[in-house]
Amino acid sequence: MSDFLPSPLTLAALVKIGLLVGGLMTAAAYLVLLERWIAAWVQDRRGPNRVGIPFTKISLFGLGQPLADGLKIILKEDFTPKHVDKILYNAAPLVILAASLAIFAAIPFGSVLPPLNIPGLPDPVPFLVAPGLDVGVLWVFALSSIAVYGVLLGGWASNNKYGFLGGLRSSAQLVAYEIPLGLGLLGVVLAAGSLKLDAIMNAQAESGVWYCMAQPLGFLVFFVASFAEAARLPFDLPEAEQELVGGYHTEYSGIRLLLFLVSEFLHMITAAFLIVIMFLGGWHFWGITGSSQQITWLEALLRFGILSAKILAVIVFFMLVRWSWPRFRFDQLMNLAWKVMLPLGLANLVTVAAVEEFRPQFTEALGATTAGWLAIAVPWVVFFVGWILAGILTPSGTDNRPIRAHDPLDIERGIREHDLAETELAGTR
Amino acid sequence: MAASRREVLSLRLFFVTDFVTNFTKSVSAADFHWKRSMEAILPVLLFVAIAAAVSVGLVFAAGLIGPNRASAVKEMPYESGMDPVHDTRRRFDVRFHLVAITFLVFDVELLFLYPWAVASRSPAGIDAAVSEGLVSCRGLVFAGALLFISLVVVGFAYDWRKGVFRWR
Repeated sequence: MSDFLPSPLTLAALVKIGLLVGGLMTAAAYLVLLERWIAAWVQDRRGPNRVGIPFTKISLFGLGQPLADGLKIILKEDFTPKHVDKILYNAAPLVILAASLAIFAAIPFGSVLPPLNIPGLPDPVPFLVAPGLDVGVLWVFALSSIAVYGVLLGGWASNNKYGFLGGLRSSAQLVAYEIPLGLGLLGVVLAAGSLKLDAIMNAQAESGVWYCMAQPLGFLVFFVASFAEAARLPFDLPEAEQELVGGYHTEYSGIRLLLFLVSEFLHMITAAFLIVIMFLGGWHFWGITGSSQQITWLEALLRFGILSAKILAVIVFFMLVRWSWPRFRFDQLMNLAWKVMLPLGLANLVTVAAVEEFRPQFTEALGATTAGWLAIAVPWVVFFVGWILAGILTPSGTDNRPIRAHDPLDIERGIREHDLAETELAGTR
Repeated sequence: MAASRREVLSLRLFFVTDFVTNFTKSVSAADFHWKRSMEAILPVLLFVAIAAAVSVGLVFAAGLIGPNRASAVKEMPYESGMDPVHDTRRRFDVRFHLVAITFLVFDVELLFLYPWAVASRSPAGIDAAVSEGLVSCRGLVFAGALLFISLVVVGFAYDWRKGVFRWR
């Protein structure tokens, strides 16, 4: 009989997956409402505040809005235009939603539970679907790259000029910002000595120094790159409404459009999770949570609450930025990725590597306290120097004038100049 | 002195038994390892399967529920209300291709740095290798990593000078 039942481990994984998928879909729906509320607040108008319990006058501040929207969009026509590439067109939203959900297999959403003493389950039970996965960060990185495929497939298969341009832009942007993202990750991985995200949180809790303090430059680079990866303003060029209508999902409607929009919000949630887990200490807060793995129910709840509060704060910051800053131009975007973020990321990596390499020697020579402060001071010096240098070396950031310099990729230039010289010669004759 | 027939036989037997025990040991170790990694990967596979099922299920359900009324205008590509001009599959800026190539180069170089980053400070990493005598000293590994990063920087500077990152 017991052979037919899944093992306790599998059951535990299934329960966690169910909680995560349900929670994430609900969170995505209600974050849309939150975003509309924040937009209304920023623009000094009323947001969605009518939809509550149907057939009554109770409006509940508009909390019924996401449910009504979801129901409406499911009842819409599931339409596939004639001119599209059918297989790729249908696969794109599935790929992008499945990938952005499955990322959470490696992302912890809390610390650990107190010992439950269930036979077959290891104690304590971690808040993580796949605790045995040694390559957590790489899994997250890999699946966030698969999201690029969804966007590119959608844009290409739509056979629509807006969709095509949106897909091109989007893939170039996501691909360009993946390198600073990886560089930011590398610094944290180096300092924590592990690719597991829960181990990274534990390392910060044990030392009490969050990585945003120890690696400010890495934090900056990662933060900006994750804005770009989530395609939020000021990096929302893939679907710049004023230029590209809807970008890669112009031709999509109904439920498939919903899948794209949900996965966009999931990307933002993922970005917030990663920022909090890797740089803002995860569930750790000084004097409240403690740092051991043997905890009580109260502590487990506290850690979960603190992690959620931090993530919500980062998401609200994402939304406030959306209504505060204008969009970049594409060349500014590429300049920032390749000429600013990549060098800064490399500088951060080298600094962190050097600090971690020579920390034992300095601890021996100066004592643990002084060495600890030095390990924080040096990256901050590099942070300010790097920031100032980046500001000096890329003065074109706010310059709107087109550059008329010689473009090495412009192969037709020589021909044009030749023609010009010919006509001038003909004129003098 | 030549070994007697009996001694040779016993030696041969020894080798055979030794080989068999070692082979079974290694197979069982591999089996154990396989079981452990399956235990680690199973939740991930489950998650991928469930995520795929959720997205397919949503699309399928909406296809069943929603209306289906096609019309000639609906099936045209959307171009802000105009009749579409030209085909979509045309030439596009070569710089997108350049970005893809540059990304490939730098991303693979970053992937090479991951093993070093993980091993640098983990207890089973470089320190363990040094104490076991596999590496002569930590400094050598650090210097190697720095050399690799400086090669990346050289490539980066070359790309910059060549104008790969110039977009206007």
